[in-house]
Amino acid sequence: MKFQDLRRFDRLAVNLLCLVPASILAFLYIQGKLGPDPVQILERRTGDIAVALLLLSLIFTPLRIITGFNRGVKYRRITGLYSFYYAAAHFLIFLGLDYAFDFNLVVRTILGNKALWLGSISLLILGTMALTSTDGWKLRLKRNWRRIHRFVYLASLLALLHFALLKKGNLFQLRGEVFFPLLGLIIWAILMLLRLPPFKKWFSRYK
Amino acid sequence: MKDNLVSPLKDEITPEKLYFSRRKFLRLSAMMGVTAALAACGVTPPGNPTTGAETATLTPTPPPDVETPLDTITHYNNFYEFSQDKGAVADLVSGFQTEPWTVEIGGLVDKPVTLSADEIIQNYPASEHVYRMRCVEGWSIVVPWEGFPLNRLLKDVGVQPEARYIAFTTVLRPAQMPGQNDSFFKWPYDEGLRLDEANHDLTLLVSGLYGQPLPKQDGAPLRIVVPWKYGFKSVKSIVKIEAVKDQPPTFWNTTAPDEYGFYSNVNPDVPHPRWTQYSERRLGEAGRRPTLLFNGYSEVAPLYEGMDLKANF
Repeated sequence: MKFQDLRRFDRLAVNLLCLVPASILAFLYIQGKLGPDPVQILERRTGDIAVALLLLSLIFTPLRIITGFNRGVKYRRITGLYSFYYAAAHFLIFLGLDYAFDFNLVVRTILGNKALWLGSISLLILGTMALTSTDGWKLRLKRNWRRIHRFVYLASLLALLHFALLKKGNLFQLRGEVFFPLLGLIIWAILMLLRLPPFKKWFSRYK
Repeated sequence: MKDNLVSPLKDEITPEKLYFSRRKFLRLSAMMGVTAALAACGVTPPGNPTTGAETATLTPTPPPDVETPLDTITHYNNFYEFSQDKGAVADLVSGFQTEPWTVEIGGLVDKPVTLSADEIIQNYPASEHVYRMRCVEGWSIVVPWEGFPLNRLLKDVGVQPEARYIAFTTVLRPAQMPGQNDSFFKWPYDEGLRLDEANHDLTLLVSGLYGQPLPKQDGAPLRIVVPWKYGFKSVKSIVKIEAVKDQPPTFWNTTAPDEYGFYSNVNPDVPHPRWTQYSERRLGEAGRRPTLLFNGYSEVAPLYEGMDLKANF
């Protein structure tokens, strides 16, 4: 089999890679290997992975601008969709496993906590994007599709802030557990900068 | 001997039938949650998903307390002297020397004294007290402690009239406690109670749990347990008890004064910036329990009569 043929399987490979963390988590959960508070571990890890995949999905566009690696854009939708799947799982674990579908309590809890506000808004944006992610919707929505999907920049920022606010640390004073939230925000900022027209122009000169 | 103080009131006890159907409901819900989560990830688990038709039996009263398994109590420890990872503490305590051990009892007392842990354990017979412990992070456990009311010890040393607070200090041993090398925190861990809180019958000096000496990761050899306050007030591995005039500094209040007050009474109406505190997850149970004022120990309410609990959080 030639390399060209193997490349046809790249999207399948990306799909499978995105499923690896879920499989590991599900396996450890069923085996009872997640410690005395497995629900919290499931909640946190699905959230971590959702954020990581969301940032990953934002890499492919600047990567194309910089290196001309066009094929990567195909992975943008896959990784973005998986980010939503993990975020949805994260919310369902919160709703079902953590709060046993006590909707009153869930609403009170979300309304009473800024971090949960931000997470909910981010999830709603990601959900809208996931629903309209098909080629059919892309055609139907025409120019509005791009407008809707540009909200990923906001959704990713909100997800990162949701993550940061739930960590035991203070971002403004750089005290406590700020390493991963800060790393995420720095990566996010770089990914945003690379999209700005001056950067695009600068890179296109070197192609 | 079981402590009567902590048994639930009769009308608090859910009828057995309701209780079990609630558990069944929670289990079902949990299964549904997993099913939904797995489905969202593209995984189809075996078995049929079930509907939540039993919602009607969900009662607002918390089910009776069940003692948390020893394995959970010894492998889920917020003991920052060793690690900030609750699962890692049990593996880090092996080098921690708890023998010999002395506790200095002093400050504004008539008879300051330094006692060995053994002397305290021998002179003050311990009995079993099954207490709920509510962590500020939103989880809780039920622990059968072995201990005695701290007021017995305080009475023997004679707290002087001008003393208004009791201050506690955890041992400082960075060589044995790796977490104490983290200069972000101000070690040693200190805590404090108002004198009337320290004298309350619920406040214990604890030397064991589940009928055995206190495991190192749970604060060996001696710790304080104050069941109506968030867990961090129940200071571990103490070496000093001091009667003082002014409100003493306390570890978490020093670290983040806007998040942790001196009192830190369990209170569902005082949210923490990260945790709403309306509810808690009892480790080992599915779903949530409502968090109760003073962690359900309403007998301490007279201590705070006329006090604004939101301002004095």
